[in-house]
Amino acid sequence: MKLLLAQNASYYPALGGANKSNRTLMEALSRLGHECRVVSTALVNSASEQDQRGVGEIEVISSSPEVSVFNLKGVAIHAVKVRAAMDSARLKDYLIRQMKEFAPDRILISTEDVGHVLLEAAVKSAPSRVVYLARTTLYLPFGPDCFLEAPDKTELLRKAAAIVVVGDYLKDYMWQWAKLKAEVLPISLFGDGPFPDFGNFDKGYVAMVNPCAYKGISIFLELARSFPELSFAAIPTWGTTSEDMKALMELKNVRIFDPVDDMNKLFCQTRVMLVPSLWAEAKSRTIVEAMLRGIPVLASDVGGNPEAKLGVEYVLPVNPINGYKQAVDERSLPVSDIPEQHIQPWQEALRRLLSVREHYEDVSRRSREAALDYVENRGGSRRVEAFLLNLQVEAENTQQSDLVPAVKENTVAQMTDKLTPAQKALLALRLNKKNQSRGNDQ
Amino acid sequence: MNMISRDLNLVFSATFTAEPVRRSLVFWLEKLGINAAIQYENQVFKQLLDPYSAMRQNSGINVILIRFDDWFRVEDGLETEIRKDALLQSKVDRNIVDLLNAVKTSVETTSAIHIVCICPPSPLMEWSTETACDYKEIENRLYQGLQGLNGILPVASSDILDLYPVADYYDFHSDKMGHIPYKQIFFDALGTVIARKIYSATSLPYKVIVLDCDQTLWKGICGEDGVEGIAVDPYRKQLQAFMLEQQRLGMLLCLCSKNNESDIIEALNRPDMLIKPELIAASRINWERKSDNLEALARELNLGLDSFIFIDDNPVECMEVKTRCPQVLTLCLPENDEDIPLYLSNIWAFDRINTTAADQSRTELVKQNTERNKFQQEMLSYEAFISGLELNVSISPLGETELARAAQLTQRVNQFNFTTIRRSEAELRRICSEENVSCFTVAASDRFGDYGIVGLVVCREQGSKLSVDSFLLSCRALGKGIEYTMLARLGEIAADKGLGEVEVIFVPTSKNQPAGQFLSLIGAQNVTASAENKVYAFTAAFARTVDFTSYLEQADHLREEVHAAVQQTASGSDPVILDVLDDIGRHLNTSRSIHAKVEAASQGKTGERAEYVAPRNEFEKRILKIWEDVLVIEQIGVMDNLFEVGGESIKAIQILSRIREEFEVDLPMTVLFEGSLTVAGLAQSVETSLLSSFDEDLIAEQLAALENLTEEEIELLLREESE
Repeated sequence: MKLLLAQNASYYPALGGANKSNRTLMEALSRLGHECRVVSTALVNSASEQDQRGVGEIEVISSSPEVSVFNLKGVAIHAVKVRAAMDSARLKDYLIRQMKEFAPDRILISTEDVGHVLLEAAVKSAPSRVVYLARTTLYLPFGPDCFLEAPDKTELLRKAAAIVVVGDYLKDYMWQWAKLKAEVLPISLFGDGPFPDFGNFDKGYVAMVNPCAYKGISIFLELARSFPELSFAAIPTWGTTSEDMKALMELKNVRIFDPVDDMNKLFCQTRVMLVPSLWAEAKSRTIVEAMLRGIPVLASDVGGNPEAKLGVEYVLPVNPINGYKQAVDERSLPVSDIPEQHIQPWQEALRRLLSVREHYEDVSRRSREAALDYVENRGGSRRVEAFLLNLQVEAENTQQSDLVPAVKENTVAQMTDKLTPAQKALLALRLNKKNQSRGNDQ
Repeated sequence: MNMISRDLNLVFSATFTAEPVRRSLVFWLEKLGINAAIQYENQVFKQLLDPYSAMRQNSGINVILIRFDDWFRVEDGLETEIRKDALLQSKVDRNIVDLLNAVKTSVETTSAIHIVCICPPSPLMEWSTETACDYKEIENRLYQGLQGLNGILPVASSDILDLYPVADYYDFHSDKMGHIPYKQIFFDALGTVIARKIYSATSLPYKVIVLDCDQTLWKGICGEDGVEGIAVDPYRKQLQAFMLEQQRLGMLLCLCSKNNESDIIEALNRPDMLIKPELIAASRINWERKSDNLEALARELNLGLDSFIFIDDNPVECMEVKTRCPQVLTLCLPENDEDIPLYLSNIWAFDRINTTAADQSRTELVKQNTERNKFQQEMLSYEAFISGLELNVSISPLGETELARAAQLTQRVNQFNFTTIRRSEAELRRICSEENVSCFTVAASDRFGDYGIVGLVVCREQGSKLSVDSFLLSCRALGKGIEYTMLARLGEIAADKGLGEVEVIFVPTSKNQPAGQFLSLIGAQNVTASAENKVYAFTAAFARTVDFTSYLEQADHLREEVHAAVQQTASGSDPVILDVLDDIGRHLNTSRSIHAKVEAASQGKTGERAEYVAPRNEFEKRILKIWEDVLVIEQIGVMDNLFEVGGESIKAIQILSRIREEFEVDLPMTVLFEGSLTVAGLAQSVETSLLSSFDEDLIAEQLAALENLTEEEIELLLREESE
């Protein structure tokens, strides 16, 4: 099969679990003999920087000011230079060209496509080949945990051949808020191992990846303040702001590290992993990765986190983020009010884990066993492959349309949809003037 | 102003990813007509220390960018960590010493100019609680160390931010992800500062500033308001202070004003004036044309008009000077007084590098010369003048402390210069150390004062000849016969070394006729000429006997010609560059204005920007106005993508919120994420949103009115009703 993945985010280096999972999935499908291609953005405006980072590992095919093309582990990556997530016009045009040139059998569109422009382009081009990979609740166009509600984009999802989700939480969310059917598949792959056992009661950091408001930095900071005798490690990535950094640096027992692609480098120094997210995580990749290495994880009870914890304790309560403001920050990330948190359950959990050896070792062992079991028995790329192969192509997909009520008719839209741009502009101008003069009369 | 070289090789090395500085640099170099190949290299220390590195092989300009944050990153199992603590203090100390040594090594072994920029730190540097070192203290230490080295152009972080303030220069996100620590607006400012240094290093410096008085040095008109009625407002005070600083750096200050001289002197003697009469090197205060006065000043100072900057508030006077003396850099002060300081600080011609002690006493030297000229007029003959001067010439081997002045002479002297070979300090140092090469400086003094070091000779033993590579004499020392003494000394040196001949190479330029005339006058025994040069061969025995007194009569005739040659400016300034300098001062004087211009220029290059489409209706017009306000860019077309004209996510949000306010519509945020963000697209979204707020009957009524109209009629109505 020819497989094309599109995402409005960097594929390599991958920042964040969703992008990293897309990468491991494509690499696994490539190993199974499929021809894999990716259309993604280039990291921080710098295709040349991307080329430099990959020396030795990636093979650069071509590089221009607009796009860098390189091979990594059998996958052809087309990294398009954009200035921000909003600046997706060029990425979309490039995807349209690639869909024509590459003629993929399946087009995988990731949720990392905040304006849904890639989804729109793919659905317009070949809806029966489009598989939507839902990994991030925030970027869905509907429901209480999304950032930007867009009914027209939800309609696009109905036209896709299939929706694949990382876990039951997202499957239920899809059905509850949009009456969309989705398939749970192991699209987050964790590699073939071996996974060293790094659980260590005696030493190592209490660590957190991507300390930022959405991911619960307030809990991390409070714990660091409460346990000055413990060493904490923060690994800032895409969500961390300079204010977060300032707060981290003010604490003497917090050390700050650069992100690493090989997670073993982090886990070998980690005693306890913190995942105190405040937003609806679809299914945190870090939780499973840490558990695979026998590291106890304290995770918040939001979204798909409990599912990721695979029945092993510490799923702890938080006051989750309740909706987003209609604004984004400089990185195009949504702005929200962060509720106050109760730190006590977190303090107690951490204290117990790090004061009772038997308990720590028990949690470590059970975490590892559960995660290994998941990876070995439920997590193979063959299942994803089989699903993609069995998908019915050509017959246009109508499976979803009978399940939802038709969108409410908008008479005004019907009246004006067929107007030319000039007619529409003149109509709007006249109505606006009429409205203003009426306002003045009053 | 002449460029020394218009072809350059630039090698960059930085402690961070500095590629984004390229676009503003390319913009400036193109604007200034400098052809440059730009090369980026990693590993600063390796570049400076490896004899085969791109920097060490470069003979153009090396640019080194240092950011202290990058010195605080240490390997720690988990790749790198950013932290400063007591342990790192010693590392910083060692890095400073190592860097200074490395730069020194590179400077001494290459002929390249080294620009070393200390770039501002991230705020993270100030946040750590374990601060064991003070960032500013580290910067001062490094900066002072760099200042102490010859052949370096150091740039402190405050030099960048004072000239081009960027409040929020740090980009935490891209630093973290791509080791690109600054926002593009700062990179554009950084490129501008580097371009200014390159411009200064590759251009012959201006030497004279001629100032108008009324409305320029002070507010008011002396002849009308009286000396008491004029005022030194804060902007004029800043202008005067600026000029004083220029004088300290070696510029001659002159006045050219249509006034009574006594009024001007009285005005300058007022206690609130910073510029005092004794600081003025020469002046022309009369009712003549200003261009004629400038020419007279050039004659008096014996300097070419292309080394003059003329400043006046009156556009008519400026136009007159521009037309009749096109080689002068004419600066017309901005109409608004408050714009004056920014304008002056952005005239790149005022940037000075490598000033020497001689620069600081230049006004004094000019005044001595005025006395000398008076004395000459009093003497009945040239012979009497020369003997009455009691001239003392001393020729001695070039020492380390004179290197800067000697290099400066090779850069500046045009008229009495046999080969016009320009050399940096490093090159001179290297040549001096070569076997069989001798370098001499020439100093002179007379009863009116000390001229300082005025000449340089570089010669080389070649077989049985002493071949003269450089022979130059500052124009302020011409006409005293010093060149005869220099040639005689060469004869002596040749004889001492047992060499039979002194061979002088003369490479004619448009300016060095005085040197050519001198050689013709002496009359060599053997002259061979080619297309590029003439070679004059004198026997050592003859050369050592050359004596000014034997040539006095002919030399007297030549003097007038020498004067004329000095004034001649055939190769003078490129009027395009002069206009560019003025345009920079007026329009490209802030980080924002530069950023906008560079942004537009770099888009023009990659062809990313859509073809210009003017707004076609009222919605587009009003939305375009919002874009222009928020982005501070003009000439945006309605089809231009926001991100192609310098926009960013935050600006998009600001624009959206302004549109919501302006049109009172509840435009959803999703419009920002739908791909191409254009004025035309937003106008359509506003229209759709507005239409949905009206009831169906009203729309039906209005639609009926449009029903029978053609598309052309609709467009015409749209234009009319948008007025």
